[in-house]
Amino acid sequence: MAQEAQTTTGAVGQPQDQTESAGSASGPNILSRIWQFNRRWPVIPATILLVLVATAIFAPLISPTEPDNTAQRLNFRNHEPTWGRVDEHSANSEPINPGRDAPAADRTAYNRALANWHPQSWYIIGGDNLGRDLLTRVAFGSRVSLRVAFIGLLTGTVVGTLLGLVAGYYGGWVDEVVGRFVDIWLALPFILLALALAVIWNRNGWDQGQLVLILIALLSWTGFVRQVRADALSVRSRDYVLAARIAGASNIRILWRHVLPGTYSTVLVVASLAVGGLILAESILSFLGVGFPDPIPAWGKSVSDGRQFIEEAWWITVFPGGAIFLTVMSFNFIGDWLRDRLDPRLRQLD
Amino acid sequence: MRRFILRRTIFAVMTVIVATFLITSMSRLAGDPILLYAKPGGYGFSPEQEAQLRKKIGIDRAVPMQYVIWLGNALQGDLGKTILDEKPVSRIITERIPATVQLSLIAWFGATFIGVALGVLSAVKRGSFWDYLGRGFALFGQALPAFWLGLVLILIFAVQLGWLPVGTKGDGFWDIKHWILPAITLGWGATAAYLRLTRSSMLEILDSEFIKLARAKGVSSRTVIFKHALRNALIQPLTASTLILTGFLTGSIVVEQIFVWPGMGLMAIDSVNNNDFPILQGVTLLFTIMYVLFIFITDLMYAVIDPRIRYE
Repeated sequence: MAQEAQTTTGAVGQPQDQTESAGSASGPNILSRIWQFNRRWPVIPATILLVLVATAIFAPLISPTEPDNTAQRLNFRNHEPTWGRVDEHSANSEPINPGRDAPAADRTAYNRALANWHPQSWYIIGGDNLGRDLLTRVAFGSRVSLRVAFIGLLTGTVVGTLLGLVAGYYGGWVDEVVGRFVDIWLALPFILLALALAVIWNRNGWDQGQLVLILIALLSWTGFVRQVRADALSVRSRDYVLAARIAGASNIRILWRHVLPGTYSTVLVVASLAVGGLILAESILSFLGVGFPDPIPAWGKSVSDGRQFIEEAWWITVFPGGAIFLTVMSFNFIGDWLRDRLDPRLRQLD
Repeated sequence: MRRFILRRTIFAVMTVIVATFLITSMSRLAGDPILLYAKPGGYGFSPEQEAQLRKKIGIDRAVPMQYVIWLGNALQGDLGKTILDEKPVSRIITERIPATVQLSLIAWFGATFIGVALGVLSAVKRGSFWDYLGRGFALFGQALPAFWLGLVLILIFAVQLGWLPVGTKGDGFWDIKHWILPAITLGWGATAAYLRLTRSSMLEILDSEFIKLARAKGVSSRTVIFKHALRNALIQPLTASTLILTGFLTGSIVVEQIFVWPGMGLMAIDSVNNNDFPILQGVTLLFTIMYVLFIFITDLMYAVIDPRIRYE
């Protein structure tokens, strides 16, 4: 039995990696090969993320049209995916604009023809409930998600690291205050507060998009505090910190020059593990209607748009949601991988 | 131990006060509740009538004062009346509790059993097909957005196959057809979390000295796994289970929204949209108290299950 073999090798006290390979060698299945390879070299998730970043950067080049293009296309709401084939609407040639000065009858005919025509490149994975091209919206949606992740991480890293450093380094009542503050923060019913805030924002006519970024920033910092605090706690009693203090360095200088660098790898690991959660949080907010305002193509909002049309247009729901899923999964996987590489303390047995 | 309980109680009270005060002041910033009735200064709505109405629905004083009065009443079990139809909030909430509790309990039991079982299987048969299936499931489970999973389940089982109804609660507890999809949606992420926790703590324990000793003494594999290892490996998932239950509070808001499940989450969203702040206050109070309570139970469970942990 594979498991028997493992315990004996484990008993001899061989390193983890060898035990793993022994396990996979005794059970030669393709699944384990793929998994092991990805654990060591996360090719699949890295590829997905690369594609994501490329999509975000080159979104205007990749997408067949603009993300909020609804003009004249309401005829095509809930358009079925064409999968790139020519359909009844794209089979005709593009109607020619007769110009402003043409007789009314010509222009009416032109408008009718235009309402029944779309380029072949549109609706490859379908159109949404307003006739907008779904592929375009998913492509531009990656920008929204990445921006949210970036801003969330930035504020989370700065605020969380700062609080963790201060709590761990000074200890005592500072530590106590920070700790209790985090506890209370985590206990707040976040979604209810977010919904109430959204109503305030709406009433005052403030930018909903900013609200999302604020909410994500509010969510992002707590994860950093505990881990960074633990690091600062262990670093502060090291000899080199003592030496710096004897040499007359100020607390700020010690924190900045000696304690902070000791937490870099932890911060990187926590950040990479947090990205997926932040993207997920944004999509949940968007889904509940607290997200970016309408023309902005956020994935979560597309899913919620498709909700009412799930019977006749499954693609509006399935594709943007699939994009969220793939992105979050890849970020989580890379986060796990970084943790195993950089921070053995946080490592779980695998 | 006494000091620990005292500190926890202070923390709990502070948390509840902060949360409810925040939600009260926010809902007040969101708009004057009197607008649900009439616009001040509108036709035939004299200032005297307005003052009277404000007094009647309890918004005639400054917000902090109102909050103190509300808190005082809440301590005596009176959560006030809803603005929209003047029903007692406590009654409305208690009407909605069973639906949410039913869904959470089903999801919790399902997630615990399936997650722990798969976790054990995955750890014991490490490197096998089952292990990779389990690990893959754990990875998927954490990344799947619950709202999307719910919609895809509806798409497959209600729209395409037409096996299950959607959007109704059905009657009675045993009406499986109605709750199975919401329960899966709610419990999916939790199952993945249990699986991960059980698997990693089981692996850690299977690798420890006393297990090796037991094996060396010739104890059968089954006894080692279920008697020696599993009991110790269960500490982590069991203590995490209270945290998972608190996660269901938030999760229920999303899941109830998708499946139109008449529980507290759906009520909370409706009350935000109507700016019916007494309900929102009540729900926030309840959610926060439950959260604080679960955290407290978690800490106690650590101490009870694992004698090495002591709170001075």
